[in-house]
Amino acid sequence: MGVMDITRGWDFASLDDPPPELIEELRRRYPVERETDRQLVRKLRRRGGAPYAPVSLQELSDAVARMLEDTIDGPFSVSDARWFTGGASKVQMGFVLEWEDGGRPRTDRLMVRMDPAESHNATSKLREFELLRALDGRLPVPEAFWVDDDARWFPYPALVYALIDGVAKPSRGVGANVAGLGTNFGPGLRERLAPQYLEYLARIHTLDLRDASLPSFDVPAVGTTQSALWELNRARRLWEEDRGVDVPLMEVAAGWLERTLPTLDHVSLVHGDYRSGNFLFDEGSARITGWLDWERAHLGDRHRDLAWSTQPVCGHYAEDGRTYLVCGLVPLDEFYDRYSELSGLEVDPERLRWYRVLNAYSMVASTVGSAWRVARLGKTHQDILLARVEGMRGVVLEELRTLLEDVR
Amino acid sequence: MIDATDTTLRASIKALREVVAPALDPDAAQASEQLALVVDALDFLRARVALLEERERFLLEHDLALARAVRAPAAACTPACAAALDDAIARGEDALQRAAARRAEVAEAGAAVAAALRELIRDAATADPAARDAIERETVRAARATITADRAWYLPLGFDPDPGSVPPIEAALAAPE
Repeated sequence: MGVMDITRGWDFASLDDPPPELIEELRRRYPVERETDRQLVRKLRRRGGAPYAPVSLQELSDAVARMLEDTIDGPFSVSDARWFTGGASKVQMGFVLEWEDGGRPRTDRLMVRMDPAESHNATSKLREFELLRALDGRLPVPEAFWVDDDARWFPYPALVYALIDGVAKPSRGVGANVAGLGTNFGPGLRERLAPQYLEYLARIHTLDLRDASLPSFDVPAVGTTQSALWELNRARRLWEEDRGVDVPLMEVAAGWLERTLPTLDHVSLVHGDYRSGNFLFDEGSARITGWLDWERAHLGDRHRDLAWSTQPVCGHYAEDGRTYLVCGLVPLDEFYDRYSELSGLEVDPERLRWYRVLNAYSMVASTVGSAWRVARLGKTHQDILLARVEGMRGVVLEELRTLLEDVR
Repeated sequence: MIDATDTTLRASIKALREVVAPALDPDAAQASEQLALVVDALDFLRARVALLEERERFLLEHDLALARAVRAPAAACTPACAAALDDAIARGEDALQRAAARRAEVAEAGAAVAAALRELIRDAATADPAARDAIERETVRAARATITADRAWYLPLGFDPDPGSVPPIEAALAAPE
C-alpha cells in the first residue's frame, strides 16, 4: 500500500497510534512552520504511549527543585505549592521560590505550566518562552524564568513564569462562560478597559521585533500567501491527525480556504487567542496588568487576531439588547475603525472573511477532533472537561455553515 | 423485562450529589469541578440514551439524501469516486431498510457514506468547476438539518448562544431530508 492509499482510506482508530509513513505523508501534504511541525510530529509519535499519569504537588515540587539544582547557583526553597484550576489544556501549579539571583536574595511567586501527556492544542513551550522573553519590557506579560522543552526535569514539557496580579473577570455581579468566553464586565469597567484592549491589540500588531531573539519562529514572506497557507495547513493537520469522523462540510471549507488564500501585506506578531479571559486587570484601577496565553502566537496576518476577537462566542450584547460588544468591550461597529486609527493598519474585509472561515474551521477541528481524540485516549488531567467540549459541536459547525453560505 | 438503565443512572447521580460531593475536601477545586461535570454527563446521558438509535438513523438518512443529491455532478469526478459513492449509497439503504440492523451497523453505514462524500468533495477540487460548485453548494445546504439536530442534541450542555432558536430534539430528528 502506498502512502497515498494510507491517507485516502485510513481507519480512524489507527490514529490512536499512527504509523510513521502516515506522519510523513501528513507532513508532506501540509507543510507548516518548523517548530509547529516539530510539535505535531512529537504529538503523533508519542500518541501510542501511556495515558496521562496523575502528578502530585510533591512530584511537581521535586521537579522544580531538580531543575533549580541544575540551573542556578546558591540556596533556594520551594514552598506554598498549590494547584491552579481553569483552562483545559495545561497542568498548572503555583509556588513561592526563595532564591538568590546574582548574589541578591529574592522571592518570587511563580507558576509551572506543564503539558499533559497530549494536549488538545499541541503548542510549543520553547516558543512561548522565547516570546515572553522578547516581550518583557514591551508589553505587560509574565516574566518567563525557565523552560523544560524536552521534559528533562518535569514529567512533560513545562514553562515556569511569574504570576501577575489581577483578575480575568469581575469578582462580582457579572460572569463568563467556559475559559472566560463572553465575559460581561458591566458598563463601568467596560468603558475603562475597552481603550486599553484596543491599544494593546494595535501595539502587538505593530511591534518591531527585528532585534528580538525568536529562533523558533519562522517569518512569512510579505506579498505571498505563505502566512495564510501555514495557518491553514496547521488547522488541516490537526483535523486529519485527530478526528474520528468525516464531516463533509469541513471538506468544503478546506477547499474554499485553499482556493482563496489571502496575500500578506505586513508581518505582525499575532497573539493567536486575543480575547477576554486572556488578560488580567486590577479591579480598583481598571488597569490591564498582563496578557496571558501566548502559546498560539506566531508571526503573520493581523486579520487572524481581528477575526478571532470578533467571534460571536467571545462577546455579548450590551444592555440595550442591540449593540454587539466585541469581547464584551467594544461595539462591533467601532472596533475596526478604532483599531485602524491606533495601529495605522488597514482592515481588509476580504482577508477578515477568510480568517473568519479559517477560525471556524479550526474550532471544529479542535472541539470535534482534538478534544475528542485526547479524551478518548485518556491523555490529560481534564478528560471529562474535554469530553464535554463535544457539546459545542453544533454551535461551531453552525458558525462554519453560516459563513460558508455567505461566501459561496 | 424492565430496563433498569434509567434507574441506575438516576441512582448514580443521587449518590454523587448526596454522598460523594459532601465528602470532598473543600480545597480540592479540581475534584469539585470534575464531580459536577460527571453529574452533568450522567444527566445528559439519561436525557439522550433512548434516542441514540433514532439519531443514528437520522444521520444516515440525511447523509444518504446528500449522497443521492450529488450523484449527478459526481459523474464529472473520477469513476472510482463515483463508484465508491454508489457502493456507500447501496450499503446505507440496505442498513436503513433492515429493521433488525443494529445501531453499530447503521453507524458504520453512515460512516461509509460520509467517507465517500469526503473523497468526492476532494476529488471535485480538480474536476469541472460547475460540478465542484454543485457538490459544494449541496453539501452546505444539506448540513443545515444535521447541524440543527446537533444543536438540539447538545442543548442541555449549555453551550448554545441562541437556545431559543433550537427546536426540541424530537422535532429536530423528525426533520425531513
